[in-house]
Amino acid sequence: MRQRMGALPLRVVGVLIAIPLALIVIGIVAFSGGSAALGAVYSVPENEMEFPHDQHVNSLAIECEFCHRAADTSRTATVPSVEQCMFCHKTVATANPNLEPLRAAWESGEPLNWIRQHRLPDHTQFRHEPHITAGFECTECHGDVGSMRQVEQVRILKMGDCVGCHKENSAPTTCSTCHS
Amino acid sequence: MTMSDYKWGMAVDIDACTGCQACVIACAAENNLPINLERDFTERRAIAWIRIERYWEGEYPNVHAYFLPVLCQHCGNAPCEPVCPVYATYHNPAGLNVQVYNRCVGTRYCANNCPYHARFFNYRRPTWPETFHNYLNPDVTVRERGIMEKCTFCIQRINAAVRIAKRTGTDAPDHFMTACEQACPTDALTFGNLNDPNSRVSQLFADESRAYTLQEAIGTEPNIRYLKGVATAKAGSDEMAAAAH
Repeated sequence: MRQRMGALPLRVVGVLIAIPLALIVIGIVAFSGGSAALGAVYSVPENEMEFPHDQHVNSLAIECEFCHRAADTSRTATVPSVEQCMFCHKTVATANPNLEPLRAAWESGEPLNWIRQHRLPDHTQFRHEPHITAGFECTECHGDVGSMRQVEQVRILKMGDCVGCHKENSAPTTCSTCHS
Repeated sequence: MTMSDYKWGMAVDIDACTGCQACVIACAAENNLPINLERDFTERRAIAWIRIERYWEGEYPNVHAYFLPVLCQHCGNAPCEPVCPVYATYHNPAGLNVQVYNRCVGTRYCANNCPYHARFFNYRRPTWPETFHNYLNPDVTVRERGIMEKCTFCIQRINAAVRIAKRTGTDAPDHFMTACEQACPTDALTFGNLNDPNSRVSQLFADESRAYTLQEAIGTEPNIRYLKGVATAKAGSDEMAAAAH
């Protein structure tokens, strides 16, 4: 009886140690990958066609603003239209089977439904333009998009993240800056 | 110029106001206000950040109407602010009384304490007809059920103008008008920077003979001043009777 009483707490202690250990291991595995970490936090929805950012940014050295045209003037960086894609792809990679959805969209006049990969908390008014005007590189928040085949969110982009950066750069931190 | 270099204020010329309510509509369209149905009015839950109060003087046919546009007065000493338990309403550096929707938990203390009835509570989830969905202003948060809202002095336009001013090295008031001011056909509403002594609104504020504030005695120090000075024919007087015939 006495032995059993002693054995039970030991087992409980074992479990109590095992849980944090497992969490630490998961944490190390998840956060060592950087972008992989948030990929696990925010599920990445699949687009109807793949857009290889690595090929366009790294191999072809296209500037971000060439496709995301309004990043420096507007609220959104703007997802390029089918027309914007066809600006090049009328003559480039015309036989590539991966581009079939793009050509179909161009023929039918229907837009491609690109799915947003970056999530901001609700009731937040984020604008690209003041950040670009202040001289920030796109990679500051979006990570090394040039080496990603499928873009993933690499920064947490929650209020602590935003406010920390605003303080470092003496940008306004009054509530009405982002919430209005 | 940064945000804190400005102090926003508005002058309302009651002598010019015709009570047309264009400002009310413009405000609703700009700021994603829900559509008030009959039920909202009968339950006294209608939301209108700016309203025209109408006063009659005299007996028909010798009557005179007075119109008083009332919106959030953006008080310098705001009674709504100290009563909020979660700091959802606060003063920003430009003198605006700002409502932070994320923080609001809906105690409604602020509305109780507002002497101007300028704060409105979302008793219901706001809905719009299907055809209105693409008309909502993307720069303005759509408020949820259970939170307080009120006039922001079109802070989305202010912020945009301040950004343009910063980029171009100009003065922010040159780049925008509030929605109500823009819609007013008689220029009864004048919005601007009170820190600039040469701005039109500053000059109107300085007009001792006409400018006054609503409920001055309670010491809320509003950033809105009303202008009234033109002597109108007294209702029931001979002049008024003559004008009616």
